[in-house]
Amino acid sequence: MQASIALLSNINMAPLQNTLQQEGFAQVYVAGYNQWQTELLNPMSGLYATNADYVVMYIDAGEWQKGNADAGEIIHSIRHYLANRPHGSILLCDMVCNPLHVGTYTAPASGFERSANDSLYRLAGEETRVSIIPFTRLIQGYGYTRLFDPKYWYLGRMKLSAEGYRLLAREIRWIIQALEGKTRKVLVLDLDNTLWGGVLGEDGWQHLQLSDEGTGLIFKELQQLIVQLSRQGVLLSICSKNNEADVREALERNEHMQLHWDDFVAPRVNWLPKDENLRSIALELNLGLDAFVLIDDSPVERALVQQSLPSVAVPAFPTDLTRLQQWMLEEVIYPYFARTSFTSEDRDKTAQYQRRAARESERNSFSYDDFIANLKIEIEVEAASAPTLARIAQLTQKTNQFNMTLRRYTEAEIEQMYNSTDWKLYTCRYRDKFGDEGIVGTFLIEINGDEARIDNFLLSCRALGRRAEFRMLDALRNQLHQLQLKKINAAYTEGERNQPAASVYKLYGFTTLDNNEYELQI
Amino acid sequence: MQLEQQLIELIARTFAVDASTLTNESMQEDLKAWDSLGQLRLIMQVEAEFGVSFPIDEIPTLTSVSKIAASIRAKQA
Repeated sequence: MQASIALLSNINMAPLQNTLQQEGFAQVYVAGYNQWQTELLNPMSGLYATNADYVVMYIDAGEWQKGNADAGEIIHSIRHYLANRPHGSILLCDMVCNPLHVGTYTAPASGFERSANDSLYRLAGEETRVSIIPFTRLIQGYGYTRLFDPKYWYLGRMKLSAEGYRLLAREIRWIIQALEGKTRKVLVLDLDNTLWGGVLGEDGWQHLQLSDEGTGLIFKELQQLIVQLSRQGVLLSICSKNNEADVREALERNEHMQLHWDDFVAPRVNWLPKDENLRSIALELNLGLDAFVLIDDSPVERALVQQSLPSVAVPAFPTDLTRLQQWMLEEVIYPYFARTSFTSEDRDKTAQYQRRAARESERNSFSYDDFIANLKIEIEVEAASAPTLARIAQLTQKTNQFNMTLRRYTEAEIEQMYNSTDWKLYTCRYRDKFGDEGIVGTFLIEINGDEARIDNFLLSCRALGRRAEFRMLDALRNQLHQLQLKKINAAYTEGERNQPAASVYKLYGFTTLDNNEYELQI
Repeated sequence: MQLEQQLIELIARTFAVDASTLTNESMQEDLKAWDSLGQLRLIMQVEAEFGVSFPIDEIPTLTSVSKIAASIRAKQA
């Protein structure tokens, strides 16, 4: 790694210099013992002269607390540095106090810890050039008594143990990788005894170890973790010695399966050597092999790939399966897929969930009617335009709950309808006080003389439960009225999951005919 | 590998010198980087890698390959 690092601390961090060098950082500048504040504030200091890409700061809480009630001075010093140095970022360890203190069970010393860390995280939130190294998390994971060794404090003002310095250096490498976007892009998975227990070809898809109990649960939880990872934008692929038809069947039919065939890109289910398969996946995705991580329980396969394709990361699979989830996080996700921020798409996704959560909390405070009224919902039903056709097709493909007739169309088919005079396509936008959800619904209307037939009416689950569908039907009726149409025909086709749509036409006031058909005079 | 050789390699890594310049007789005075702070960094690594723990008063006296090796042997015996 090319990045240069400067270390600042109120204790002796010299050992971290060694461990950072072992992690691959060549230039490491260590400020003199307890000189951190001078180094930050004085433009003539060694720190300013090093021009470091990253200034790693560890301020020991126990020492700092002896002279300070809060982290204010730390924050001010960092802000001063940032204002005077246009280059480089600050990586700031959060603060951890000794869990034991004289007050024993009285008001906790951690009051300081909490308020200090609050202000450090706030600083990181305000300054893009400041990131927090979650030292607290290391302590939670490994323990205070293990990561601190008092002996070297008495000898030389070092507080951490050798392991503490090593783990801190590893954390620093991960966070810098994430900041520089040097993380991997594709997780390639073996299947038998990796993604599930057992051998598909021998046991059959019904008898794989994948369940809510024991070993089966281990693999199920691993899959859940991988699903989360893929939601973060990591691509998933398969490299497995199996019959593809068997694998497809297992992924689609086993009820405990969290991952499905469509979740994978460029899957290779065949009997070719795995290095060859990985090379062809890389070729197909047009990515370098250094973007890949392979998870495989077989040491033989791992060794083959490691030797043949050294730039593919091939972490050793845990021998104790109960450690699988922890291993996945610590040995795969943090080292290879760590991230410090979200792309705008991710953020939007998160925001959508947040808006939903905000709506939920509103829901508890008063009646449902109040809730709906208070949402200040705005609905817009408009004739589709060319750029919205992909979204319309997507809604027909992906919507399962509020899907009136379960008719699904490709983008090409939607485009044909759009260009036909017999069809009218409408998009429904939804907005409320929490934000704009964009196009959440669509009407596909076939015109026949002065009658309109709703071929399908779809509403994304994002907008369910807010009576938006009725407002959309109001708006549709207006639109069709302007086209001089007299009557709307509609139908509902019962499927496995579209119960939420079942009685909408009836509730709205359509006349019910036989066979789940409805009509309404405009 | 012989204990002394393992120590030599650890010392080389800790002070960023070539292991071939060190011998079983190497000591603190031979290396500029092996100062009192270096001593602590080195012994900390020795403890971690060999799984031993030296008493606080002994640490400043372990100033050569042979002295460190002797102390490790005494603890492992």
